Amino acid sequence: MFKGKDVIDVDCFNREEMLHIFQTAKNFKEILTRPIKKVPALRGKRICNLFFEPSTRTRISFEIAEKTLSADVTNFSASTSSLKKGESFKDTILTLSAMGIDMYVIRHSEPGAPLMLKRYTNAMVINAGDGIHAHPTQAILDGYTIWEKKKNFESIKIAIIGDISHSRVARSDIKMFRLLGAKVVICAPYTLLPMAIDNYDVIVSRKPEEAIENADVIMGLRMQLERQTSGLFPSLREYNEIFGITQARMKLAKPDAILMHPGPINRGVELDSNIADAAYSVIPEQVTNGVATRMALLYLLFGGVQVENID
Amino acid sequence: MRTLIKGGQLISHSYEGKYDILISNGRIEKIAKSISSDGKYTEIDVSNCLVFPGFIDMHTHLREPGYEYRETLNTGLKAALHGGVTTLACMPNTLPPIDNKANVSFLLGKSKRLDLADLLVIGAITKGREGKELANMGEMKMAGAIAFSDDGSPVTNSHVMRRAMEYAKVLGLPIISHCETLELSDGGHMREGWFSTYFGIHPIPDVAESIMVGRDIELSYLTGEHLHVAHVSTKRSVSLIRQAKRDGIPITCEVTFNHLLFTDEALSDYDTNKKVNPPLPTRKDQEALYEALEDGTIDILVTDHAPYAPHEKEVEFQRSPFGISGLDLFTNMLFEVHRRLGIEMKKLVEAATFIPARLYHLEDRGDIKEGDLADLVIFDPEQTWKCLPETLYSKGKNTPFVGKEIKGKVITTLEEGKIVYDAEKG
Repeated sequence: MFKGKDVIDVDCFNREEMLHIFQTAKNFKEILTRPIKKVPALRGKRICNLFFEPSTRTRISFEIAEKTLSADVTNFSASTSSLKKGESFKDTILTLSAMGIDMYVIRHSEPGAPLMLKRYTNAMVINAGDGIHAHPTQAILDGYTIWEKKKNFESIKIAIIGDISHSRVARSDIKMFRLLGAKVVICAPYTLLPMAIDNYDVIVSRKPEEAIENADVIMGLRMQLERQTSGLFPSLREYNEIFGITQARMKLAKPDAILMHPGPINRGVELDSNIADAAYSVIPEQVTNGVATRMALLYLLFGGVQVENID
Repeated sequence: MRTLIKGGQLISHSYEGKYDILISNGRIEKIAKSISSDGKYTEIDVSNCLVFPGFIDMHTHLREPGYEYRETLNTGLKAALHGGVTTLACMPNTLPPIDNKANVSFLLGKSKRLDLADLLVIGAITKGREGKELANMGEMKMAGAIAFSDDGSPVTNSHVMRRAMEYAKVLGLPIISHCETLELSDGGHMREGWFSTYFGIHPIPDVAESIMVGRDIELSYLTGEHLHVAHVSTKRSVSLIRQAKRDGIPITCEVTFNHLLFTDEALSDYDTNKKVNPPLPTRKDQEALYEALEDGTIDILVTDHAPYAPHEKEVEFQRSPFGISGLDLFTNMLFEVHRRLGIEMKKLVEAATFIPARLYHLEDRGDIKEGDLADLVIFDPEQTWKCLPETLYSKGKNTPFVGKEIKGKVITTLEEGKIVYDAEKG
């Protein structure tokens, strides 16, 4: 069911498979609390983390997941590679492919890069973010986080607020949440909403108050300053005032609502100054869950079945 | 020596049906239901084949001078003959650009020496295609240029475009406009819509085209100059052009096979061989293009042949240049449009022969009739072949048809009665 599969976006899994990943991740999460954080599940497997775009949390999260499972890990980052010398993507891949890699984890600024990688390798490919297209492992960790907290997706409302246009996380998250059956409301200035967004079967709201009202999950997205200079909104101050997730707005949500953010966060922009530290914030937990879900995914893709007795 | 083309199914403006064609001295001497050879003529049996006038492709990029690694006149003109194109016009976005009489003469002289397909040259509107100063259009006309265009780029300054149109009108030659509002398309790589959102590819809105179409219609209205809109691709553009034609504004336009055969949805594999400018249309826009082709709003069919070297296309989608190679597959793509859309073959053939010949005042071609040049394409609609890079004469292998099984094959291309392409000899 999972073995040998490529993970380009969340839609390569069905609902049942996704829940199986969550269940597996739950078992792995326990390993992360052990004094000796290592299991031999992927011993002898060679994984290359191909990062053509700078990344801190995703790269480290994958690396920890891979090392905890005892895989041999090679890190490739664009800034220190032959790409600097003008080598093309294709030639870089052909070179690496000659070194016996079993799996690539790829991050790239260009949408479609993981599919292009597939053209030149037989190894498995996991998309760790490609341009504004997709970020499936972030969506899996987000889905897992909600699953752990809410158990049931059918009756919940998830509000996603912020720059949807430039967000691969939003695109994959929306697919994930709809796959699991949650109601999704998105909210942003129209300058930051991509065309035909309602085709994802989501509700588009112009007011954050309306989006947050009675929501079970509120997710903020990073707002970058360069969107202001490219004319998509007048100022970060105004953005915060109208679309920022504030303490006052959080009060409109369900009493047990949780606040999520894929990070890195901009305090005082998309999130009001201190709410990332509030009790309802699960932002730090998302990071832990990132490692557990990535372990689960790697384990399943390499053909793992039983997790209960792993040691 | 006379040649008799026997038993073919003719599809042309003047003749449709089963006729024999007798050729002498490079021209069509006689067309009749049955002409008997009596051993006097060289006979070519073309039963079960379709016979078209040699096709006229008014929008190609042959890359010479300056980009010979992408295409040369030699490879491009051979690709044309392979595709059934006997007359073609090349755009001036070369290095240096075709913006003066010497460059026009160079292309015409070289193509004449090569003696392959007939080349027509389109000169630049502005010097260096920079959109600032008018190029020496008069001198280029005297050297043989047949139209002017800064194709690849729009003339963004409306005043410069106005003066260019007024000046070209005096010369009696059309202006071909690449309609694109750069501020709106900048940074985009496919048509904006659901699929650009879904694939995460930076979008180009449809109005980036139609806004400029609207401006140029107004300038054509003002100046009375014949404006030809290159590669229309949106519903809004065709509806503006339809209205302009009703208003009596001297405007014509073209559509490429790419835009008739593929939509934005086809980019799900991020294949750079389907990356083109203007970008592939949405389904809705494509339907408007079909309709416009049927009702005559769209006048002619072109390839917008844009060959690139493999290494330029084997890159990430957004880093790839825009353009699809098309000359080798001209007749096949036209036939494919007929098969997929059910548009009458005669109508499609006219849009690629009779009508461009009339628009650009090309004499003695674009039809099958007595007295015309014997430029003919013999096409077997039943034969299948596999399109592989090595089967294309163009250096540009960047077509979505590569690797595909194709139904229908050009068997022979004749230019002025001479066999210039023969599938058996290659």
